[in-house]
Amino acid sequence: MEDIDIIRAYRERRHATCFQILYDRYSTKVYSKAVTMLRKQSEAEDATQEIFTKIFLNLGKFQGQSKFSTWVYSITYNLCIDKIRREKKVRDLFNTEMEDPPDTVEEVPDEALLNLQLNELKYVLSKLTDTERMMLLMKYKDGVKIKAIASLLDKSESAVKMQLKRIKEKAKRIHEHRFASTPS
Amino acid sequence: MSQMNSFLALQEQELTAFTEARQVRVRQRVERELKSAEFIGSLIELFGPVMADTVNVLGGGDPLVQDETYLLLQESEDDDPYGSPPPGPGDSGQIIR
Repeated sequence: MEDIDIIRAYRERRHATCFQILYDRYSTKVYSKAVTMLRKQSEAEDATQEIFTKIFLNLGKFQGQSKFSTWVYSITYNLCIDKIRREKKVRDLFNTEMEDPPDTVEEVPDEALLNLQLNELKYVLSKLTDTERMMLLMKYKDGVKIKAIASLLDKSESAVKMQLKRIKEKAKRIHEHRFASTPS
Repeated sequence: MSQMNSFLALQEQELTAFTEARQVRVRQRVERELKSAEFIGSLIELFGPVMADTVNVLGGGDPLVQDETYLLLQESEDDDPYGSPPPGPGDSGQIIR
């Protein structure tokens, strides 16, 4: 059954089953994105609750012009960004101009990060700033497109690409510094 | 067999933790909030016009809804024990079998 059919049924009858189906379909994805951005699981849990309350209270406004999943994810990211802004976690989120010329950054292949052990990845992520961690996870864990990241962070696509390049390079350095001498 | 990439492994770990411990709890909290919102919405829908009318009348305006006349306390009082009995089916005194 398509999302839009379930939404129509929920609007007409407010049936708990419709709520349950939509919640089961999207709750893990919403939580995953929330935890990417907010870092702490308890905060992500609260955000997931707020997001779903908002979604179901505003379901009447969803006209089906875009995919329901797109609508859900935009609510998710906007709410998380609002939370981050409120807590001033990422002061550098919106003013990160590139200071160095692009060609000074070494191109790190994606595989270098994708093939890390889980504990290694967790260590590397813990050493990155909130913004760096969030961008890396959005790109590689949640599969968010560069265009969407740029739109969410109010940056140009080339700025996002450059920043990701730098983050990957930094992540590689952190990994090498910590794990180079120990066999993985 | 190819190994899962580290980001997907991280995602899987987070999601497992969510589905095991948090998914049901969050759903119940959302349901509670939606019920509360629905209840408040119903209250507003039910009493909103009356409240608005009351404020309007208190402010010196005419009531927007001209309702039927309300009985005064004296007029509506009907529990006088010494008054005549209330009319029943057939006041002729016959017992209906």
